[in-house]
Amino acid sequence: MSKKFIGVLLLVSFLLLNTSAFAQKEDVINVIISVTAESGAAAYWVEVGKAFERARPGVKINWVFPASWGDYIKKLNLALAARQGPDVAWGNADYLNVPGRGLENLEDIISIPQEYFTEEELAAMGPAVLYNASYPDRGLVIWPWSVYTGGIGNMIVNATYLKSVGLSPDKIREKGWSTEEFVKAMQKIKAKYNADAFYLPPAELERAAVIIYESKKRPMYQAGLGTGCGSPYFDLETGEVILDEKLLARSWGWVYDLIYKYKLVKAESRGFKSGDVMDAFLKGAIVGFFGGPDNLATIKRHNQDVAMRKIKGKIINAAIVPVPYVKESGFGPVPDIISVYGYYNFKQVPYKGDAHTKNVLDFCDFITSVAFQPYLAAQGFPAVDTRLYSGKYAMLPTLYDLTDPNISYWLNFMRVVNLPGSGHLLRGLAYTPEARDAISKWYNESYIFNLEAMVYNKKTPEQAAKDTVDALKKIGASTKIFTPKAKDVKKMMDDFERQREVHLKQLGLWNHPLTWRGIK
Amino acid sequence: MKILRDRVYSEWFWAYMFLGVDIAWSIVFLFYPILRAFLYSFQNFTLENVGNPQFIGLANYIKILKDTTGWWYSIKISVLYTLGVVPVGVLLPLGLALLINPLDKKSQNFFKAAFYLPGVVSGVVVALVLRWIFYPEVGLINWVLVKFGGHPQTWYANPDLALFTLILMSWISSHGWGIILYSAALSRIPKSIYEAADIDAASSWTRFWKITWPLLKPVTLYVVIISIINSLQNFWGAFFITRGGPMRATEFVNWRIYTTFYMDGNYSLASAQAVILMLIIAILSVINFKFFGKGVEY
Repeated sequence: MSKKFIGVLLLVSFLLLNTSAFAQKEDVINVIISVTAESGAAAYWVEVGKAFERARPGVKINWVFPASWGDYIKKLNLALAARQGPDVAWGNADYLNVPGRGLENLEDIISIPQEYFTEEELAAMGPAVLYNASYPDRGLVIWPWSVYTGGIGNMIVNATYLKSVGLSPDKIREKGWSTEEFVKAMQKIKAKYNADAFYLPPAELERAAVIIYESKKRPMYQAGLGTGCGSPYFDLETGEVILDEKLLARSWGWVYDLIYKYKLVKAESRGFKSGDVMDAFLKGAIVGFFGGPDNLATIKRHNQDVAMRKIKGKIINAAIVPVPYVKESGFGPVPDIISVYGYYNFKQVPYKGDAHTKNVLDFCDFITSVAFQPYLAAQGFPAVDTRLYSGKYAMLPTLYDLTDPNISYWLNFMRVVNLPGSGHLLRGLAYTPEARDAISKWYNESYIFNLEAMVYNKKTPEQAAKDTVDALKKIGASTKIFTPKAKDVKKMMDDFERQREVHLKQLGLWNHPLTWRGIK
Repeated sequence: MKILRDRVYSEWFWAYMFLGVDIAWSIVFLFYPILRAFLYSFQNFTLENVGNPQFIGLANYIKILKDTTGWWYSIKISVLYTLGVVPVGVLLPLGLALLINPLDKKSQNFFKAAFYLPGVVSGVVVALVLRWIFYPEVGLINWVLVKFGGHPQTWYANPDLALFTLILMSWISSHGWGIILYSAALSRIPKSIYEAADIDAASSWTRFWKITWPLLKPVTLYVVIISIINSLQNFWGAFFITRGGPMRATEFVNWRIYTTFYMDGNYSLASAQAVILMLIIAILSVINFKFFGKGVEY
């Protein structure tokens, strides 16, 4: 009896030990994304994780949902500091790689082998996405998932207003419009509907103020002003200030004239909130604003509510058009700057092995699968303009109403005309920590201050631009600006420019009137 | 003897029990964070090196004190705001309390509750309501101005008016607690003193200046100190309405601490800024007690 009992006990112990051994062999993938536990999206992601676990027995997904964006950054940094970074974290190149905000320890990030993507996928992403998700000598480090635009290259306008003064959004999309044409159209619309051209709350003013500056042709590594302290203010080769005072004065002066000469923009709209812009647009109080097609969803909802008499108002016929540009020699269309969001995979101590890394990358592939898109769309997460380049399902045609000329135009424009943001490279690799601090301080205390001083007519555009550039020169004189990595960044930018040219020529878009072509 | 011991034991026991809750609360949520902030202020604790902050001595303090275009600019804005808020923050509640005091009990309670109401409403709600009242285009104040033949103003959207607008908002919304304090103090002044003044045929001004004002001095001192502390720590206006602008017109010290902490991710620099602000407030409070507390009886 006792022998039997001992036998059973041994058998049970053996089974238990084996089970725990199996449990220990379970490969746990730790994932942290900036979705709060209370949100509906968190429940969705848990379901996605379970689906992956079913498809991959032996793999367990452990989700960490933060309480807020700040909590997300904090959790991520604490984990990285302990060399226990999560296997998968969601973020973008421009934001999360800003030193001081996390993920800047490049050596902690595992590069994604290019072989993980097919030729078709790489082609669908295009050079801009690949560039924005990569680092010199590191290749791709973000699993590209979604793309945002800086909103500088495009604006949403009231098509009814434009048509009433003889302008067709289709034609503007085809050939662009000059800054003069823009002003004339706005003057006619003002006379007819008493609508302002646009408002100037944060982001809107910053975008409007660089339209002419960005219209000037220049080497790609000097493009992208208006992206805060990650903008190219200093020459990567010579270290000299490249913020052009005269061009800045002209660019800011255009906004100044819109306010004080043509009276098409209200200076006090600087004090409005971003939400006021959409309200004003839906009321017909402004002709346009700077933004991507995600705003079309809001406008569409408004129109539906008006049609169903849920709210009072007018149906707004909105269209996306490129921002106006200077039609002079040496100038060209304004490029929009994209920012890629996706998934990072971090090294951990102790190293868990290649099989684990493969599981992680397979999981990244899985969560960007098109199978979950209808659900995501129904949940309103993420926004419509974010799901552009997701692995083999790039462009996601099923989600977009491609018969909508706004969408088809924007998708095409986005893919081929836009430039990648270089902020992550400049801030993360090229600028020294002292330069980053000084530039950040200068941007808030001088750039924005002088721009606002001009808007409020406290300074002329020339004076505001001079004071701004002078303050920047002081930084250049007293601070070491670039790290030795700056040369690699410059090389990467030059390489990108060459790839982009080849890509556009392959697509037959090199001579398209709206294709941004810098000078070398 | 036993009964007395029990009673003493019981009184002490409950005294410590009640005090203990407050002391524990203060240690966890007040003293400990202050101590940590003080320690962080001597480190290079930023988002970049969360796990590995190092001791850097007084470097953060030196950086702050040398920052003429940043820190000292914010100090200037906060001082201007304080100078605009505190005198009215003292005189307005006093005046209203003097008006309310002679009324019957019901009316007094009504006005006290009405004036104190913004104090019990969430600061966010108050800020949003005030923002709507002063909205540059179609706000309530502009509507009233236009109705009476005036010109609409751009208020907080105007760099020349933004700071004044926030001061004005403070005048409107934050005098309830002062009224309550002054009303309580006024009701405690013995009527016999006024009756004696009446016999001497003292004028209303003499009654106020020789009796009311001196007897209200402890409350006035308290209101002044708390008003100075609140004003120097002002944050909500910049956070909910102006975001420090336009043209840095409302870049208060607390807004700077907030941006240093949350936007720049420099926790130790923000901690050092907070410690300096705390010292400034402490020094001002001591000065207040020393120079204005003379002759105050508590």
